[in-house]
Amino acid sequence: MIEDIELTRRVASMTAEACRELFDAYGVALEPATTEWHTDHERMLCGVIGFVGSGVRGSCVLAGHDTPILRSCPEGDQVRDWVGELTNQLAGRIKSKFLKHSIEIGLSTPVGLSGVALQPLPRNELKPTCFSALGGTVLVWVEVDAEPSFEFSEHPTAEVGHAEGEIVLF
Amino acid sequence: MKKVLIVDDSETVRTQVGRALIDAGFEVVGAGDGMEGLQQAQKSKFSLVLLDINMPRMGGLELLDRLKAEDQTKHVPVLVLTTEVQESMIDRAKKAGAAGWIVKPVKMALLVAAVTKVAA
Repeated sequence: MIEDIELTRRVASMTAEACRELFDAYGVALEPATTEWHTDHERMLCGVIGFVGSGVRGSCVLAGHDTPILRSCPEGDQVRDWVGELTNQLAGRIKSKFLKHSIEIGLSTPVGLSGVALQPLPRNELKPTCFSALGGTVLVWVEVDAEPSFEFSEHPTAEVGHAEGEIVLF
Repeated sequence: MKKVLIVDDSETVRTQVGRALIDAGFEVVGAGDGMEGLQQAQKSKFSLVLLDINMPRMGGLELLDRLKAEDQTKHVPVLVLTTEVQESMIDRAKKAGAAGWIVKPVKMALLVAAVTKVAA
């Protein structure tokens, strides 16, 4: 598999949309950042997850200041655990968006980390997507590799059966 | 008191769901992955198992299969609580004997209502 910038651009756009939807579901509004990602000496939280499907694979990073991540947390103060779960839920939304293109991907289990001065070093000109939120910034970053034969339809066509929050009893 | 086993690798989810169920009058036991969940299910009797899909060591679908394969646990209703929406995976869980599928994030009141309805 090789790096595919156009595919990465599309997946990054889907991921940014998924990230806004996810935080919105937890009552945290994200707005496009007006400045580039910058690091400081405040503690930051970071979740990493991988995905793989037929002819495609990639990784997704969700990072942010404590405040917006914690504001999204429904319970407790296990922030590293929560950023991992939030990353898992973000990947679940990305998976749903892939499914709309009839592409199935599997997810790894997420890893949650914390640190200061976290600075992404993308391997191409595509910069991670930054959002402003009350109390800090949030960043999402994806990198995607694909087989040369991998195709991503221009418009989503498939129906995804169930939405978030839905309960189906058999 | 009805006892619910919550199997999810996120402590935050276990705490949030557990608190909502305790407030609704359930006794709650947590497990951090499918392997631990299986051990808990073999150790005591539960009215319902609530399990995540994407977990380390043993995932939720494998745990579901193992629970339904054992005499001691095969009649315990299982609800899946996950971010997964893939129809093939939902069908797989249904065929394996799951009682329902819940997509995260979910309102706790709705989740409690579903657990109350399904718990044996």
